[in-house]
Amino acid sequence: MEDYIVLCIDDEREILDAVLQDIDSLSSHFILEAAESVAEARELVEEYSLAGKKLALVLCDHLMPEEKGVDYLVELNQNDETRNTRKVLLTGQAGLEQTVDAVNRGGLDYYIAKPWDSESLMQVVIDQLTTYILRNEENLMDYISVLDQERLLNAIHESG
Amino acid sequence: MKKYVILCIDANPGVHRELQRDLHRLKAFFEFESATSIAQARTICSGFPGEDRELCLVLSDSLLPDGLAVDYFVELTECESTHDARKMLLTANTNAEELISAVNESRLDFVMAKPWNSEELLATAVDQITTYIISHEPSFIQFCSVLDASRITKAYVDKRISSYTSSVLDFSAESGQQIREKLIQKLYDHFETVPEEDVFRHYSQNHTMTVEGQTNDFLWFVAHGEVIHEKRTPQGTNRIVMREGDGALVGMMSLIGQDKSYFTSYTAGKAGVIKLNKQQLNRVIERDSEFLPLFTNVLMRNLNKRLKQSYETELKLADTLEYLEAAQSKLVESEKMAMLGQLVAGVAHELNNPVSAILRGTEYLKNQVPGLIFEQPKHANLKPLASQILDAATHLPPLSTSEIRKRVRQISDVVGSHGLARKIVELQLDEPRLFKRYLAPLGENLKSAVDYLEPFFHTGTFLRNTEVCSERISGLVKSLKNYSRQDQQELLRVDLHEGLEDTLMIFSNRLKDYEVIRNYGELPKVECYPGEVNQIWTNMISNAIDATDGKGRIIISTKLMESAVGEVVEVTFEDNGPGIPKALQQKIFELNFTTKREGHFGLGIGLAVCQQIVNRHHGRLSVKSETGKFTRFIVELPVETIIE
Repeated sequence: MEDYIVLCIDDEREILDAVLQDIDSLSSHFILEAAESVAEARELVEEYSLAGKKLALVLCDHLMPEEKGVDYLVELNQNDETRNTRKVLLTGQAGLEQTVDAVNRGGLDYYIAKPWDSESLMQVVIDQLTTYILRNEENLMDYISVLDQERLLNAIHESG
Repeated sequence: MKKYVILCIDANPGVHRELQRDLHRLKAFFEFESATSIAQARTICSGFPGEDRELCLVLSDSLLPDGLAVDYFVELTECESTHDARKMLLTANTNAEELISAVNESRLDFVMAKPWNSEELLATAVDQITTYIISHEPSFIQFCSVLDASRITKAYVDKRISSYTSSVLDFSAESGQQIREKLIQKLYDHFETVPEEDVFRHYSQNHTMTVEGQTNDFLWFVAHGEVIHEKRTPQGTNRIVMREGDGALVGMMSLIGQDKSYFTSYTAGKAGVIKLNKQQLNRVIERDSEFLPLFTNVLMRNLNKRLKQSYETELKLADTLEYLEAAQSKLVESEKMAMLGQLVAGVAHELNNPVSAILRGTEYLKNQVPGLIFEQPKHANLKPLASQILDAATHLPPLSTSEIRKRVRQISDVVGSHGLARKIVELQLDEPRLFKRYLAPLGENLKSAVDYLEPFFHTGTFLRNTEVCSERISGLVKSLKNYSRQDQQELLRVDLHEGLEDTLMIFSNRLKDYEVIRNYGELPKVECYPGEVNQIWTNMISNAIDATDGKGRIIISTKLMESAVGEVVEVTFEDNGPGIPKALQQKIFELNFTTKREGHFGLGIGLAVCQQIVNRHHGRLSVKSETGKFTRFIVELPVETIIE
């Protein structure tokens, strides 16, 4: 376990603290990471990649100094290693133009508006991670305790 | 011609002769009649009305054979034709009682004692007759040589003046058109009898009579046709001020003012005019006594008309001005609203992050705090450590995410799990001395101990975050309040740096990718309308952001300067955008000039509005720019503003 990374990117430290706390129950199965900028995220993903860890889910703010969240999602989507990463925008201020860009070119999977509530956030994260695990992991049983049991069990049952 | 009679009544014919001798000088103009009794006098006077004769003076002895003179005087007064005749009593023994009744009942005019002084008698008679003649004879001036010349002349002048006055001031008697026609007719009549060359002229269209600003020695009476009066505008073009038809006067203003022509006046079509120089005009006035009152009347009517017209124009202008001011303030208001709308959206976004963090934090605290307080600690010996961790998380800034990652890597092999390692780092127990002291002895219980300590750390973190975020919100709210409070339209002394900072704070959402450099000098408080001045800062910053397309460097500098008009504060806004080409640098201040695309701030009238605000503060707004390098807007505001 701990083969997959869940990465949260936001220039505001308080937001990172809050998000990581909301999804803390996943820490037993996933590497929970936080980055305060796109540059830091990029570096982090590369390092983990060298260690064979994959980016399963990214929760990304859009409006940050320097590089913007949507641009990074597009970048991840164009990279073979991270094409399958589930991509979620967690932002209060992506305009229509950027959101369309995120969907069309960034392979955006979900958009959560700030302020969020922890249950919905957790629901989205579990749903997205379940999808990721179903598509990328053979040993589904390991994740039964933290992800969507029903979907995982169905998949296990079908594969026989 | 009417004859005026001097009647003498005395029983003694000798007195008649004496009187005739003394009044001899009047013989050429007056007839003398004598009577020895009242009865005879009555007979004489009764014939007057049929003979075109009028009694002007009675000289009578007081006691007559058939009665008292006073009784006869009363009789004369009661008769219409002799009502105003002057009455003189010549008496030897003056009786007071008799005299009083004579004065009261018969309007006696003079009493003279017998024997009289000849000169005195003549003077008195002349005086009495003069009084009578002035009020009864229309052409009394002809009596000038025999009567009181000075009184007669004065009466004559008074009469003439009063006749002028009445004809000049009586506007209602005839219409303006009639009077003008009369005046023109008078001029025609005059110059028919006294021909002068070149007085009557026929002009074709566009014949110029006066030229504005040039001297003029003529007066034109427009007999028929239309004239146009023009005035030069400050822009150098001519504007038609007035059109006048028949009877118009041209050259009137310069004639009256002895000055340069006020209008440029020319004919609108064919016109017949009478053109006079001052000498000719004077001659007409001298020759024809009726001309001056008419001319004065026409002149006054013309002036009156022009005066009225100028008042009406002024009223119309005032209306237009009011309308324009209203329209303009509406425009300025909409610009403000457009700008404000976008600012509000930006501020809302800016509030979103801290509000989210607080919401998440309080939810966490709501769930965790009861446990921390009421649950029995699993690791009672770690309680002092837990308290330290809570305290540190509450008061110290957190480790950066990259620092955490670095330290997690260092211990994850020892701890075995990334998640656990991460928590230990967050608790800052990874430091070798602390790790050795607190965690190493725990062995199997390591995870359980970290789980026990973790809520203390998160509680502290969220308390701290809530505080930090609340401060940010409160800062934003304060700036918003300042920004909106200062919209009140009153003159205040303010610290310009505060307004600049409030504006920057409101823009913080859009300034994330900017290096904002503040070169603030020492400034005194500046007298201004703070709301308007903030509008300038808002426009300046918004322009800089738009010019740099959301990313770049903005330098805001302030300094105090001495100028000819006193202390001036200079505030400059420099961006490293593409710059403004020289050719456009003045155009940008015009209304509706914009290079911005849709979705940007404002209506494109921002700089024009700024210019107005700066003007109102008697300041200056200028721009310096180098293409490809920078644009710098310079706002100068006097420290002491004179605002009308």
